[in-house]
Amino acid sequence: MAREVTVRVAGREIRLAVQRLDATTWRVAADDGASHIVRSIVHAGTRWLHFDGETIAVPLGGGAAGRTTRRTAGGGREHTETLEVPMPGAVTRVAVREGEVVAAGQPIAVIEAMKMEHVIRAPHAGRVLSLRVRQGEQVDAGAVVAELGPPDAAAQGPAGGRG
Amino acid sequence: MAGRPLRRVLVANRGEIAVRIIRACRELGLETVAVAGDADLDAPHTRLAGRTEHIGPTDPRESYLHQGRLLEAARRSGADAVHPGYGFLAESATFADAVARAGLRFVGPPAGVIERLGDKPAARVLAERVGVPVVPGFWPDADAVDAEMFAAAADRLGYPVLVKAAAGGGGRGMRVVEHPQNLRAALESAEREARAAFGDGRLFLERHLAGVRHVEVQVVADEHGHIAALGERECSVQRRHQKLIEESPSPGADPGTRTKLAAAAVAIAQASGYVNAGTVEFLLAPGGRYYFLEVNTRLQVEHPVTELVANVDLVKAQLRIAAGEPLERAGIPADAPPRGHALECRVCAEDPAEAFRPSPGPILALDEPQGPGIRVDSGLREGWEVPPAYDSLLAKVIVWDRTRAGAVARMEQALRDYVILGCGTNLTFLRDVVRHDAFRRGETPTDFLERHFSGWRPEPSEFVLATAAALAEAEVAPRPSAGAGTGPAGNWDPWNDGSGWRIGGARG
Repeated sequence: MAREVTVRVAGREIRLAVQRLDATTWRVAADDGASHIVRSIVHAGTRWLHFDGETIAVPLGGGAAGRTTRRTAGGGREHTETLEVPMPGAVTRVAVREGEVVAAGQPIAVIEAMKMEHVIRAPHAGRVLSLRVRQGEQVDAGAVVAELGPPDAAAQGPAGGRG
Repeated sequence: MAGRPLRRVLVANRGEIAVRIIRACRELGLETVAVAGDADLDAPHTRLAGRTEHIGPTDPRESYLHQGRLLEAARRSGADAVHPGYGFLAESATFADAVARAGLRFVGPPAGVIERLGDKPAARVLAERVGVPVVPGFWPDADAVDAEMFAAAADRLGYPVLVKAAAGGGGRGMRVVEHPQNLRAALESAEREARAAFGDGRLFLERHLAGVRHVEVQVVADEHGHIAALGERECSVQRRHQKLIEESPSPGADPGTRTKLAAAAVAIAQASGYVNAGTVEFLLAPGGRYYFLEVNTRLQVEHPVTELVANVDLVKAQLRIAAGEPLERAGIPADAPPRGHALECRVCAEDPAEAFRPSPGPILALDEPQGPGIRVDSGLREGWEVPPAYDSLLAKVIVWDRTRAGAVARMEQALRDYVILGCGTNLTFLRDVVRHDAFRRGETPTDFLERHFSGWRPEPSEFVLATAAALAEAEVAPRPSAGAGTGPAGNWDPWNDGSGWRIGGARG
């Protein structure tokens, strides 16, 4: 049974009637009555959707990736960057040590996937608060490689496992 | 087949090319043996083969690149021939030699030919000897990379220069260096990549020519001294020096150039004692000047475009030639004027909006295009997971039509029909490329993608974005439709939130 839903895209309200046909197939009818077959499935926190040559992957819940900002107890604003692996692969090199102060653009680790090297670099100067990967390790997309704090931050890793 | 017929072929590869080769073997009535590392035990190619040999862990060095394990698998399975496909050990002279020493047929050129041509500096010397022009460059005698010597040579050649791996292929170990201060870092990373990919870190330099096209000639030779050139392929649409779109004939080659390239390719093949299928690569400059680049002593990824315009089956020809057949009985005509136009797009697990970074993942839904003139060489299956350990190539869409314009339109249609969910791909990017005016006009020098598509982002239609939001709403809280639809239920707005939806899937 079709369900009518009104959504807002780029500030505009759009009304659609959607009906699930099977596990990956939906019929979507627009206001003007035209109906289209759309393929979609949710997996591992991401909605995949294909229609007429366009495929999009939308993280559910709008989870922002890669960047967290924490406030310190003293009320000051401490910027901590969580450097994440953008794709699954193998860690072929860890180029820094915990506690090391690094320059902007300095390589932190090298991930190899599908025969390509991907260098994870420090987005800005800072201190490596913690290193979460070892050379030779297999990692999933989103795994935390390192936490980068301001250069004057204390060199100790916050608690918590890989993201 | 003739005097030394093959009976059982071990396909020492994986993915779409293993599928392609296994099918050709079966058409010829040959038994097939697939090989698989841990991650591939249920991969599509294993399901097609008569039997599958487990050759080790996922790491390619311990499986698809492990000569001892492959030979042991061949012995265990009673194979009498080995087809290496492309990549992995396809251009390893030591592997071809070991296969021959084990009393098996290697479906490719003899080890000596691979060795002569696989060493790129040596191949250039050979080309020059038969009067074929080569790209100006620097090929050091020493095995170790001497940064000072390279810097001096680069200054002589003039920047930008191209750093390339002597044992290279597939763009690995290759770097464009624009400024002298970047040379050392490029040498180091290229050497590391080359060592990892080929076990050989030797490098050389070439002048980086502007405005050139990559054009290559397919040759096929038998053991009886016959060589055929089956027309050219243009492979200029490249990212990271790896081909993405190939076509035949080349829109940049006039009939005179085509004839000259074919003659140069045959001369080089002849001088090297070539047997089986191979490809002679050239750079084609505006005005028709051409330069020899290298010979790929194997079946190419893009072989299907030649198959469609020359009306041949190169894999079956390879197998028949390995069995000692002459060209004509291997289905290779002496002269094959191109018929119509063929295009190939490589569908890869990568994110074109994020520097083509790999995006392996599960295949949750799969619909492959079909229809007249559409061929899909695919290594995919719904329910399978694309492993991160191997090349990102998933499948190839190859189309044929009488005219280039017809083929381009057909390709766009085929790409629009291709559904892959769960694993990020470059399908939308490819669609945008074949829609581009410059591509449609055939204006495709090797920097085509940098020139027209750097900074490319997908631009999903309003309908697609609205549907994503509507499905989220419908799935989260299923309600009967009566009374629904009052007020904006899904407030997700991709233009305003920071969630970073992306085509490639992997969050960044």
